[in-house]
Amino acid sequence: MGTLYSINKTNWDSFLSRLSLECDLYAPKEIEDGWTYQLLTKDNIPQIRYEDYKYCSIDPIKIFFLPIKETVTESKEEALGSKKRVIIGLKSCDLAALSILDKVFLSEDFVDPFYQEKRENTILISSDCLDAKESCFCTEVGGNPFPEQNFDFNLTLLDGDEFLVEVGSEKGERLVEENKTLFSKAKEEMVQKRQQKRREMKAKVKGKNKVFSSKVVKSFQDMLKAKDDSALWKELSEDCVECGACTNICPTCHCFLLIDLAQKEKFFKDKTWDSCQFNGFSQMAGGADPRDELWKRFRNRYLCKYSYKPENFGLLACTGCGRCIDACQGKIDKREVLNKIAVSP
Amino acid sequence: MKNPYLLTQAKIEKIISETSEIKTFVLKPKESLLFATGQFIELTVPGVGEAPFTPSSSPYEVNKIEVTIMRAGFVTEKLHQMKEDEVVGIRGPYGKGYPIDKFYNKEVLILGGGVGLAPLRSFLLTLLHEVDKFKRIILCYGAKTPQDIVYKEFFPEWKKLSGLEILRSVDKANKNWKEYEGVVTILLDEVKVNTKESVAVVCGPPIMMKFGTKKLLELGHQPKNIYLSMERNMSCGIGKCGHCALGKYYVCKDGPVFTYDQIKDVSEIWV
Repeated sequence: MGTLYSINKTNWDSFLSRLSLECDLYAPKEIEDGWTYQLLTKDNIPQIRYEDYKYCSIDPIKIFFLPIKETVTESKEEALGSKKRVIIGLKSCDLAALSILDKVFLSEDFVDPFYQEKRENTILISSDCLDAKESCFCTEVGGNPFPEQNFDFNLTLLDGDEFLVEVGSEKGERLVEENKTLFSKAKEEMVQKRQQKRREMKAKVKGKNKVFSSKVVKSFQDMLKAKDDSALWKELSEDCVECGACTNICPTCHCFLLIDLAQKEKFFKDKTWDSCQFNGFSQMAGGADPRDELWKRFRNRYLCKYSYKPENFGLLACTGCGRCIDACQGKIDKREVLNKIAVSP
Repeated sequence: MKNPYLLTQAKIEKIISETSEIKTFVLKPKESLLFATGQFIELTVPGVGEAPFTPSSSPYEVNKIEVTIMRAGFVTEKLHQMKEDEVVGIRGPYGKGYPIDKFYNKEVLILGGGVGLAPLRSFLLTLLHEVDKFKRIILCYGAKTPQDIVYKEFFPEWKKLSGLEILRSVDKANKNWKEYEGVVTILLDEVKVNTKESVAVVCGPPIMMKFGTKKLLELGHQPKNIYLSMERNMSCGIGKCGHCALGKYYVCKDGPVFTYDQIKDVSEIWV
């Protein structure tokens, strides 16, 4: 656990104001059915209503590190060097997704310099969940509705005007050091209060997932391997319309397409989001396609998240954010799919 | 920091027409690109598209790279329209090649079909570079017809080499054809290989990979000694874009050379 500090709202706003001198600030903004991020001006800092952003945003965290489209063949000077950013309002399910994205884009053999640069130049400010959506299931995939990793600062709202701030990185510690008059040592009763709130929140998420047994999750890997049967997957994928919403909205899905383009004398390559759910995603020259049927593509998403990524990285590539459940045009609930796999003979 | 998506320019020095559908492009990269046999490169037709190819030339040849390309899709169609002295982009090499040192003192059986001989030619040239280190080298190659055989001008030279045995078959012979007729796997019945002391290296069209592997297993070859050069839609080449997923592996990063043992349980192994 990182160092814990206490800070009142006025001082916290001053802290953000100071950060805003060097950084772009992104903070929650309410929209229909949830919230998204907006670029803040310094004057708007006091208006962030932390108590209103109770669970994860509609957009997954990857929008900050993997833009929907970016040109990757520019020289470093032109393409990189973006302004530093502060992102406020992140929840633990999104932070957990960074562990997967880091494994993919910062792997030792080939680092993606575009991802790396954005990652290094971003300060992540998260907060504990204050409520859960019907689709939330972080507690069933090894997570919790409160951040424990990958943040620079995590806020816990306590009663009154005080925040409990946990510092989660060296970057964060340095910033506290530079602004130490604003922070004070956390009192023991605040820490206790946080623990109690966290316990309650965890129970709430668990309560929403009573039918979805976490025992199922523990054995995902073996279970999915054993259930290779096409009839089952055909049935499970019956309502899938191949829209790709589940992969687009997923914070850990990282697949992309490289597109070659020409503009007058200039040639370049763009990297855009892609989806393993789309027909043709795995098609080779000549037409052969290992996942030429919908049920194979549908199965691939489950295998990737619950079997392949755990085998490769030791991590599930599902953080239980529930966005794919909310976004599915066919009303497919991933938890039900996994339950059906578990009980099928 | 190195940008892995950046290209090196390469001039098309020479184009050799192998068959009506297959051409070999001799490329001269601006900056030399060293590869291990079995690794692949990404080749870009500027502004058009990019596709993966395994070089067919020897890795010991450092100033040029040859790629043998069948007209099969959008990018390869454009490539076939290109002329000598035009410029393409290349990046790589990517993936893991053949673990040559594991093949020392063994009988090496090479099974190739059609344009699948391209990476195998690079492999063969690598073996021939230190031919004394291998107990035997046997090349079994099959094509649809005698006209569809690639590297026609090299076979006469190869046939003269001691230490290299060559068997060839065509699915449909003509009256001048004096070698075997039938699918390439029939050649495996003709060569007696000590499967305890051998490795088999396979590359060809999907159907041939499947039945070739099946036949090798029937003949007693060990799954861990069967090396398959797998084709998938490798795009980024660096294990990130997801297009070439083969079970838990990315072919671009973990392959393209796999032992059958590594991938035998992947449900989508054969296409």
